[in-house]
Amino acid sequence: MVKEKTFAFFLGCLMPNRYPAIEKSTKFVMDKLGYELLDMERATCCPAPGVFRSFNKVDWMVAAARNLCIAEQLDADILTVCNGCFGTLQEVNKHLQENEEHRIMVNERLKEIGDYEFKGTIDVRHVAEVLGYEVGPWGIEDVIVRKVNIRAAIHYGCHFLKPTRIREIESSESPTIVEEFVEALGVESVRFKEQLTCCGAGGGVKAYDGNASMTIFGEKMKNIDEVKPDIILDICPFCHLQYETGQDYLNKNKSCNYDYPVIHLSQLTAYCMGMDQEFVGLQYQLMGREYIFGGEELEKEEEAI
Amino acid sequence: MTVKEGKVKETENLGEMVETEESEEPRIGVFVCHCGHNIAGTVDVAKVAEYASTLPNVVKAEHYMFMCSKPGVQMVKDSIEELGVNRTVVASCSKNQHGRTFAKAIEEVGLNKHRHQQVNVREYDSWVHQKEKEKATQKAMRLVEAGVNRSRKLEDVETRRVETTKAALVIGAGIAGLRSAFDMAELGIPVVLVERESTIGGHMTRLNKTFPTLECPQCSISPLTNGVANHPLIELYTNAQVKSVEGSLGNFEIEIEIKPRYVKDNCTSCGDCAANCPVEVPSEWDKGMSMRNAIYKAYPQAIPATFVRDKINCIECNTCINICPVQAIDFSMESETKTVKVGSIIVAAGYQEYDPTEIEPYHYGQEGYEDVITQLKLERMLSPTSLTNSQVLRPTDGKIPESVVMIQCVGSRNDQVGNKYCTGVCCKFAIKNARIIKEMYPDMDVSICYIDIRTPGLNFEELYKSAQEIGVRFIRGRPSEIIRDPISGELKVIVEDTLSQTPLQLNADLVVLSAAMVPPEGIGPLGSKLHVLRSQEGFLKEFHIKMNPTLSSKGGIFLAGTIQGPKDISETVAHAGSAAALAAAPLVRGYIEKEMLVPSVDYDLCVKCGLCKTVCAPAAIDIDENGIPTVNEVACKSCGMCMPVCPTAAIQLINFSDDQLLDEIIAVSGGGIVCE
Repeated sequence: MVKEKTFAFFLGCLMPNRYPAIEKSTKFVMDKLGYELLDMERATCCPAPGVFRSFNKVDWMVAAARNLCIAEQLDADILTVCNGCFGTLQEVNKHLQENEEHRIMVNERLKEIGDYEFKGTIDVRHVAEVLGYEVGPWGIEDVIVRKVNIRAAIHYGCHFLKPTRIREIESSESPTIVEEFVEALGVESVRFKEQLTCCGAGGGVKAYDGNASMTIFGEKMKNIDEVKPDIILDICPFCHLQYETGQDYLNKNKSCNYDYPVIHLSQLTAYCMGMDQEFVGLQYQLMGREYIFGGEELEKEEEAI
Repeated sequence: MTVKEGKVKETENLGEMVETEESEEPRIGVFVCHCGHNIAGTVDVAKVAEYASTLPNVVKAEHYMFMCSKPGVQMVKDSIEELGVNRTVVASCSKNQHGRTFAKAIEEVGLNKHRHQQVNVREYDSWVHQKEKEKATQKAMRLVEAGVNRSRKLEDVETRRVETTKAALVIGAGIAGLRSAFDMAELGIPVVLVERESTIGGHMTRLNKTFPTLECPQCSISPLTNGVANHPLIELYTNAQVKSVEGSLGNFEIEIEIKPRYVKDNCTSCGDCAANCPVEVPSEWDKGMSMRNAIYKAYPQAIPATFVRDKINCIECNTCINICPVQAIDFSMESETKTVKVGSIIVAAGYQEYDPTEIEPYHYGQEGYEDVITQLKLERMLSPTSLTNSQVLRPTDGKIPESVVMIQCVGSRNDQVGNKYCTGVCCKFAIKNARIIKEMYPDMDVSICYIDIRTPGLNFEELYKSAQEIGVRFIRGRPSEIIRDPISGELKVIVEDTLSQTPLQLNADLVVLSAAMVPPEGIGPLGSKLHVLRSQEGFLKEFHIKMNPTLSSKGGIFLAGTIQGPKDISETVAHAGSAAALAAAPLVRGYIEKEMLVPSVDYDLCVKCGLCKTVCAPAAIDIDENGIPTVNEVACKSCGMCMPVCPTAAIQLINFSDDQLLDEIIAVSGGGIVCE
């Protein structure tokens, strides 16, 4: 049995390097909710589900299994805030638990790089799923100190729900998990056209073919701009990066004039749970630097005498 | 051709005599066929016959050009009459091909036909070893020896005459059930017709037009529905279901549960009750495209015309009871159970339209996607009695759509939903409907997105072409998604035109899904009651796909129409007619001749484990309360499945016993098997 209310916190690459505010927010939220986050020492890149797997599936599994072993040694489920990390770790974990042949092969390779053996004792969790299903809108209502009262364009990204047969979270065609959760924080989700398509970053597209990536993203922004949300809400640092740098690119190269603040679910939740706006870190991002969350402070009723 | 062609050799009994259980000494005649060059071109038939003559108990061994010819068959008969041969072995083609020819021949001269052993040296040997003549000859010798070994212990099998009950049950009163029932009744057989719904006619009555001639289906089917309803030999039960089935081939006993209509047969169908009923719910018969009351008649031409009360939705205001001029309405009616005895059963339970809800990208049935409908709904919309006055109207705003997109293969040819098969009918009905609406609204954009267009057969390619000519657009590509603009609510179909490799977003005011035909709900329990096998796809499995597509896996139970697999109306009617003829034959004759090639149980060895029952597909093995199995000899299909599962070899099929098979295997293996 793994430790209860404890997670091995898998940072990944993007979040600690580009968006430390997401890391801080996540730690703030999980701490307030009574979870303990353990550091995963010597953890590496997940590695990315699109690029690495396409080149060499075995090496992809071995590197992921090594990360999983670190969490197994901590005897805690992994928590990730990134769809890519989630995609890789959840899929490899499940696959190696089910496929003995690959498990043996991966373990033989792991032996060569140190004291690692994949046992399959833990689960891999995404923060959106922990908040949406485990804490739940019913649970968060008691611990938030303010509601934001804003309209958000919610972007799920790809790897969080797909492939549905492996993720087993919910339908990838009409998901509601994030909508239902953030409604409790005062967020109204605005539907926009082709909401569930890719942001254009994943699968190595952003690095390999920037133009194609921006074509996909440009379409996405056009659809979002039609419904004029207050913020763009995501659950993945890579989508986050795409929305940030992408808007900047479109402004500079395609004579657009976008300035939608891009906010990760952890950041929003942390703010509503009482973290000051300055730690949400919008001032360090490219878009929506001037944006003020505002919202209403909730007067918590004193405990009945 | 004369007998001289073959080198006839009569031998004395050269080998030692092998003792058998029977008192009569086996005298075996072996005949090796040349089959022209088919066998003799590869196998040295003379050598094989020579070898056979050396085997124990063989009193005659010869070879001949065509054993199946009249002189060949006569040779077999002569050997029995002249030499007292009491077991025959013919080494030629397969048992299926000519086994019966020789079995029948020996029967004609007084030998039990099960004394014949067929050895297949053509398909099993000469055809597959054409380049290895020497080895092929060796193999033929072994196969013949195996046949001789097997033949030595063959026992007589009696043929029993089973009297049949002259009556038939037909389950389902759609076009298939109606056709079968009517055809059998015309042969003088009393028929019990059971229908689950309150009316007969099934899916065909719901259609607007039938392809390829765009004929009115009501006009085509109503002579049959009326004919069945008024036939003196047909007993019709609507709102009824089969509750239990006992017995076998020729003699079944069936319990039928008849649910109450709450309206007595003196109903004049005046409609006053429905006109005054305060309850309105969507009509199931009309696929939700119109409303009905809690007391209703499914459609104007419904048969029986007696109204029916929907107890679940009725608020029991009693208005109808008071208003009925003939006091036909009676809320106190109860379910009744009726027992009937029949000789044959025809299952004509039909199909149901695939529910596309599970294909999430099409959003069928979801809020905001009301304009995504199925072809059956479109048929109801176009029909003469529809709410829309036969016009094509968008469900959301009641306006005539400017663009209609039809999507093919919804639930067919789709691994993801588990249906690999092609329904085979959807291309035809989609083209038909596309053409009809394009003719009604020439300015409307009508597109069909398809994977392949499949319109084989007379008149169907012509129908396809006629639709192309009047401007129906055909796009080769399976749509990935139907998307909805959250602001305007407009639908778009995302598809790649794979012929021009162009991604398209088709505006679609109305999307029509050509949903597959799938097995009807409730077929599982019905199949278990009947003890018939189902195919992987869930339909009921036919006995043989080519030679007997209407017999089920169980004797005496036949399949008619789409319960066996997707079909159009023409195919259904032909299939149902065939089922009727086959089901009627034993009833018209009055008896069935059943060969008692059945297993017997050695009760000293039986450990009462019940495994034999679990593998018996026709459910011919009964286990009594003490765990003792008994074989229903009439229901048994002689498949032998019970033998290998029996842990103590207590159940043995006559002429296929372990002992007999082992003799055969020893010879095939060249004597290499060591038995301990």
